[in-house]
Amino acid sequence: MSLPFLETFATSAAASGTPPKRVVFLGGGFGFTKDTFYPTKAGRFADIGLTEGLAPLRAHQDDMTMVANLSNPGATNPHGGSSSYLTGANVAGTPGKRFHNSISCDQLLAKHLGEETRFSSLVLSAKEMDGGSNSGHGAGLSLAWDDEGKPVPGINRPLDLYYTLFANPKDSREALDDRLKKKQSILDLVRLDAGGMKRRLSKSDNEKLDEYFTGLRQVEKGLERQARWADIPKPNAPFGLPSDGVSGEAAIRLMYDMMIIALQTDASRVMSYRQPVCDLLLGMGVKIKAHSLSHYGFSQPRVAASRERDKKCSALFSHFLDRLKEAKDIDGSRLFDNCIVSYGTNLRSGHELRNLPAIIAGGGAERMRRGEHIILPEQDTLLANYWLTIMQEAGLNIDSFSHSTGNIPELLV
Amino acid sequence: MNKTLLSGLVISVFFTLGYFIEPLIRNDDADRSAAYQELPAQDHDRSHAFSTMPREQLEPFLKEYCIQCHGPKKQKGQLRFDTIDWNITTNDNAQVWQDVLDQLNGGDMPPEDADQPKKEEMVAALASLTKGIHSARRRLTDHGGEIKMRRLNQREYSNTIHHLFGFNVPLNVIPEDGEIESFDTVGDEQFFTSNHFDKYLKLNRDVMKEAFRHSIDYYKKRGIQRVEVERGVVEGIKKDRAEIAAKKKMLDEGKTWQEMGFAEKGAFDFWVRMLPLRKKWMDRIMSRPKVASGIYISPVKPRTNIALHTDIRAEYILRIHGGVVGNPPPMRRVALIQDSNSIRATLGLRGTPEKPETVEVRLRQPMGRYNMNLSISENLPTSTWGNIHWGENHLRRLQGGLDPYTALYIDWMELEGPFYPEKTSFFHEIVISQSAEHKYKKDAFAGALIESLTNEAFRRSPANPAFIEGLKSRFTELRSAGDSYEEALSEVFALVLSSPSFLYLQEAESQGSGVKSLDNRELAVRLSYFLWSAPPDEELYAANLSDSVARAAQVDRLLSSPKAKAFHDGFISQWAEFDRFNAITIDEAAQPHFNGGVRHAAGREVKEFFSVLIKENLPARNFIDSDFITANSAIAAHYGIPDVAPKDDRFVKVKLPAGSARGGLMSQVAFLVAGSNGERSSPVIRGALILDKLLNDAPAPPPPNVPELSEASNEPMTNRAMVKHHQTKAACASCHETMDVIGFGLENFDTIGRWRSTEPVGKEQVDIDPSGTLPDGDSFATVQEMKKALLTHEAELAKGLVESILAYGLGRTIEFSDADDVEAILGRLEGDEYRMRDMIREIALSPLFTRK
Repeated sequence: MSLPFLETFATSAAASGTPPKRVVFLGGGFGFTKDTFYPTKAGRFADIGLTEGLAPLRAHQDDMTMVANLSNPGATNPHGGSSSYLTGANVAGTPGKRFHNSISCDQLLAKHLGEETRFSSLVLSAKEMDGGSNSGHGAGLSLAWDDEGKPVPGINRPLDLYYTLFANPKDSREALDDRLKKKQSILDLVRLDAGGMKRRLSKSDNEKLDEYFTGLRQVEKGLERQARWADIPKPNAPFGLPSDGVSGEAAIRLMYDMMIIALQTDASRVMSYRQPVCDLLLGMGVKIKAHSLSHYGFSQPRVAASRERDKKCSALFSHFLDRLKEAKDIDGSRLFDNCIVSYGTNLRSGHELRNLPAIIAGGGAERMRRGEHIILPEQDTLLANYWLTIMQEAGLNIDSFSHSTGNIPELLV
Repeated sequence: MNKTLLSGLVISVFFTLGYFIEPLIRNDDADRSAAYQELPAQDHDRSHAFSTMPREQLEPFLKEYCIQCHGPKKQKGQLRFDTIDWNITTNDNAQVWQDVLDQLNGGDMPPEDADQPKKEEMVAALASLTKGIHSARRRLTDHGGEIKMRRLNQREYSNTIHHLFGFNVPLNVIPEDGEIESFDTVGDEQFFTSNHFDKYLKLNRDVMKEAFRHSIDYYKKRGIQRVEVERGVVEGIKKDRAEIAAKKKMLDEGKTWQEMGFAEKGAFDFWVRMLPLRKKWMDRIMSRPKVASGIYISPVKPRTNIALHTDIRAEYILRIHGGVVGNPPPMRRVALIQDSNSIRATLGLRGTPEKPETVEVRLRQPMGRYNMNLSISENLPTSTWGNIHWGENHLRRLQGGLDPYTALYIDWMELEGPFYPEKTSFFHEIVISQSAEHKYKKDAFAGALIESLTNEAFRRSPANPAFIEGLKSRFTELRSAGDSYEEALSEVFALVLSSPSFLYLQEAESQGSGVKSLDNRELAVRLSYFLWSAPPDEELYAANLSDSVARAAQVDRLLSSPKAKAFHDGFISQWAEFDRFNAITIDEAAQPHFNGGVRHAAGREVKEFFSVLIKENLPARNFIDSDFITANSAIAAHYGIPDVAPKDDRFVKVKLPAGSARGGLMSQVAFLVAGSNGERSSPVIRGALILDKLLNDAPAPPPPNVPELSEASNEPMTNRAMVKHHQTKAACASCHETMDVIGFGLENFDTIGRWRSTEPVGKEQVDIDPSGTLPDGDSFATVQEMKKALLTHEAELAKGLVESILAYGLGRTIEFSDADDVEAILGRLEGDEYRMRDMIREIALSPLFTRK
């Protein structure tokens, strides 16, 4: 499907004429084939060449960076590549808690970059029949976790993203204001009950009740934002409704294409996408599940399938970058030049949680070294430091994130 | 329960290309652990967060192979074992030992040029380290018995709505529980997002619409709708034959496919190919003696339907009058009853076409699906008669040939109903029974209705008066804005059902310091959600539960109620890993014996088995081995057990012949399928499941960063040989030796749980070798002997069950800090064989159960 260019929509950014920064996190489950995906040498891709698994990214080899020696010590579950991927939290080792998580960097970024857009962030995911474990994601509903470390549900189907981006609610601003008012009176009423409860409950139960309150506040915020945007029409859909049952590669492609439109029309500046893994394999004609495939050394056919999967992922990622380069931003520059796109997972190969795959592309991180494979001098450099570096490049004025110990100067020119 | 753990066990079976792991213990290690500073201590006592590494087992190994470089002389990597802290009180301590384990697992230590331990020594050291660290980490994350307030899970929401309004809500329209590691009652694992509120509100509005539509209707008169199923079948065949003859004539006359009326060439080719098959089947059916008075299930008429618009407050009885044709294999005697959403039941037919008999099943529809539209077919794989050619292939695979062609004959079917429950719903009660002359329609009555519904919905916890006032004024507002009486009340009630006091099971905070005990009402609620997944009834609210005799009597009464099914099904389906069973896909075309009806019945078998243990107060050891099974026709046919044909869809207790390999949980089809990957059995998963569930000795979670063995051979080999291969490596053997041997013992059960004595290896059939030696030294030659040996672990089994049932009932995981209470419960059960009904009673009487 070819994607027509879209006129950029009126936003404050458009008014100022300077393209805003956008950050995209793509991630998915089990990692890649050890011997054929990861470069062994450091240096410019133009010099060291691309591995078989990375070869589909050739068109972008001068614009992307791959980083070796990153580890996320908070991840200890060899089947859970996504739970703490964007959070760096010590999920299984926090005293007094069987499971613990903290805010993910996309949600933190959304607080800073998400004020002026229709959606503070877009959280995309996929609902696979076998659940998160078989695909290597682990606990969670998406890559995103909120302030309290609770999982943020994602938009699971291309069809739902389509509605989110393009379906214009019939309501006028007045109707929305009216709905907001009604909703507020509903919420106020429910709060009266909660208020009565609060007094009787213990501290920790009150924390549980706070989850409910937070939910209510989000409902209100959502409506407020909706009202604020009621008079600005959504972009026209460049293609028809995706079918309900689309999955695997076709779903990833549709999600990617719609993400580009969302970025270009400034619907949101922060996105994360937890990609389907088992469904992708199924569509490629690979009969076994992602977990079994991660044990690819079992047989030659599995090795071959694993390598094909790597190439497929790289090709899809390359397609995403192609589109980013084709799309124009408000000042005529390439959309690509104002984006930071991260691609990776907590799992390297098989069940190795150390030295995880990390690729970054886009011109948004201005100081980032580009076109090379960087082997960090320190083994097990904290993944949180990597996220800190990226968020600083995205313009956040922060000096720590999660368990970070500082940014990674080796990534910067 | 622990999905991650289980899928992880497969890991070490299939290893990948060996790869190298960098040492973790480094000079800069201090930085790394500093990154994970301990959180401030929690409010509660954390003395249980202390554990000690198994020094006796480990020290000799370390002295022999490690201390030269990590001791008084040298301290490579800043690590020395002579001064190491054997106590683990913090995450950092644990990490030091984890790094040691990673080094050994990774094969990086001892270095190549140093003395190497023997494999047995390495296996033992790794096993001690793994267990020590696993238990230390569990102690570190011990929450000290804190119960987090919890939200009604999907099952409880549906049952609570049922209690209030008298109908069921289909689970899939209720906001999801999320991925749960322990039980769906554990509040700590739940979360609430803005989506949840909006979804609840919308659902509750639908519920109220239904409640008003149904609850205030008077009961309908009972009736019977009968369908003579043969209507039109013979005429259809005649018409079909005439059409075929006409087309055939055109074909003989040399007409083209277009002239014959086909839309495309493909359709024409298919028609030509299927023609002889169709004719044969029509002849076969027409030659049957009773073809004019009933139907023979076949490609000519693969299914028959019956439909009725039902009252969702009531049950209906479906009756099938028919019989079995000739003497087909047992699995072909089973009828499958489905609607558009799911399989509803399987029924074994009785009688013959000449002397038909009636079998029946009671069914009820949930909210939003009034129309009971049932399709009745033979229990064959779904694709069987979509294409006659495929269907014939299935028959050949099932019974070796096409004959017997048809197995089921149906004379007629009927639906009788409605059968209303004895007691009307709470809502019906307050809106009708209490206001004979429809007073409820008067606005003046609304306030009283709001108060009584809120009170019951909030499980009789007093509502905030301001909330009640708010509801009333909301009602008035809506009325003056033009809403009808019922619309306004519906909206207000939907708000009640979306409020935290309804959605959360709240237990008040302790007044003052010390351990808080639940008050009588809170205890009634905890008890009824434990055993009914629903609110208490009048009698339970009224009982004096602080009196242990009264409480024991209530537990007994609750367990004897049909509502206790919620506990049987809710507990056992999670404990026995049904989500794993449900996620395993079996290719029905390749394995037509495992079809929808068998899958449906397999899930029920485990539940029915558990409910027999409770109803008859049988010892817990029946989970390991029992001299009976519970079965319906489909399960009995699957196991090859003759003469099980109840006249309804109930499961019956079937005594096993002496020496039978069946009996207990581990030879039930749902368990065996969960212990497979869908294509072949998995001794690793089966072994791990048994260690975890039946022996209360869950293997440590799969360690990350274990390097894989070099590539496995592609030569065909037995399942056993393949699994055994990885035990050559110490890092794998340290855990797998223990679990795999139990799995090998079950190798006589194939992927789908049928008995086999050989397995295919390449093109040959090779005899199964189930023998082995358990870690405690008992050898066995057969699965029967293995079960007998495992029976000696009945105390461990009982402990695991007590902890799991407690976790389910309290809504929190059971920790080391609960050890004394758990022991006390076990102490009272030990003298009488750990009987299941006693166990539930003792759990409910335990001080833990009344503690907040």
